[in-house]
Amino acid sequence: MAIDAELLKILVCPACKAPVTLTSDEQGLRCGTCKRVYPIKDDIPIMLVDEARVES
Amino acid sequence: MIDARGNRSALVRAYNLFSLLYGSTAARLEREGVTRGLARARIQPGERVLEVAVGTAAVHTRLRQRLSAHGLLVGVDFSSGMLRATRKRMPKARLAQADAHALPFPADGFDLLWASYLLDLIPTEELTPLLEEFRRVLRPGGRLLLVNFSKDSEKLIWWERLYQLTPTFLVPWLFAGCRPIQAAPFVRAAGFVGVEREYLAGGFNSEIITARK
Repeated sequence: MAIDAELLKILVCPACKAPVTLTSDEQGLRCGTCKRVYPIKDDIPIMLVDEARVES
Repeated sequence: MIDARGNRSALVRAYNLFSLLYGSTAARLEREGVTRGLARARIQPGERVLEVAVGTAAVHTRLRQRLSAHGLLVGVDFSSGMLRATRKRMPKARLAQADAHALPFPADGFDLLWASYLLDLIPTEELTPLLEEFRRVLRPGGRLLLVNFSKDSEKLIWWERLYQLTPTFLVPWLFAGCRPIQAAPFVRAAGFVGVEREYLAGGFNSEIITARK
């Protein structure tokens, strides 16, 4: 099961509140502004700033 | 009102473990307060509802019943164990792991924000900023519904005396971290209007607070 489409539509980055998009491997949500990637575990996105990695 | 004690990571560890038995213990004590809160929430089919701190889904299932299929229900929790428990009971629930202080949602998106038995865990100095964050994600006119472990006088109750005497590392385990609070002034300080408080004695003494953005 993938992450719910309605949920994906409303999720934003908890740090900068900008929209996030699914990464190509569908294992994370990337913030378009600060480039943080939030992991998805067991179909539950982990929207914690401390758990995010920053992609260059 | 006394302050919360214990550090946050210890509290999260405790709640990850509590997720295994919370539904059959604490959630039962909380049921009466939740029932009263649901009556006051006046949820309409089709509304957009956010529950902060879903726990083991004791309330989330009841919120779902009150929304039609068109309504949007989203739940967050800081504890991964609690989210797994909710997922197990509600395979289709829309869930995210999040910090209530920094919600992963845009401004003005929800008709109702529900948080039961969460604020009694939050250190006093963090209450107003937390409620400001709750207010941010509500649409103008959107409703806040809080159910908190509470008390009806200014005097210290036995729970508070014990809570203050207990070594810090034991507070999450013996008291689930929570102490009685009276949250209405903080709700007003965060900019909410129409703040009302109902006190419910017995079982878990609770307050039900309703307010509008």
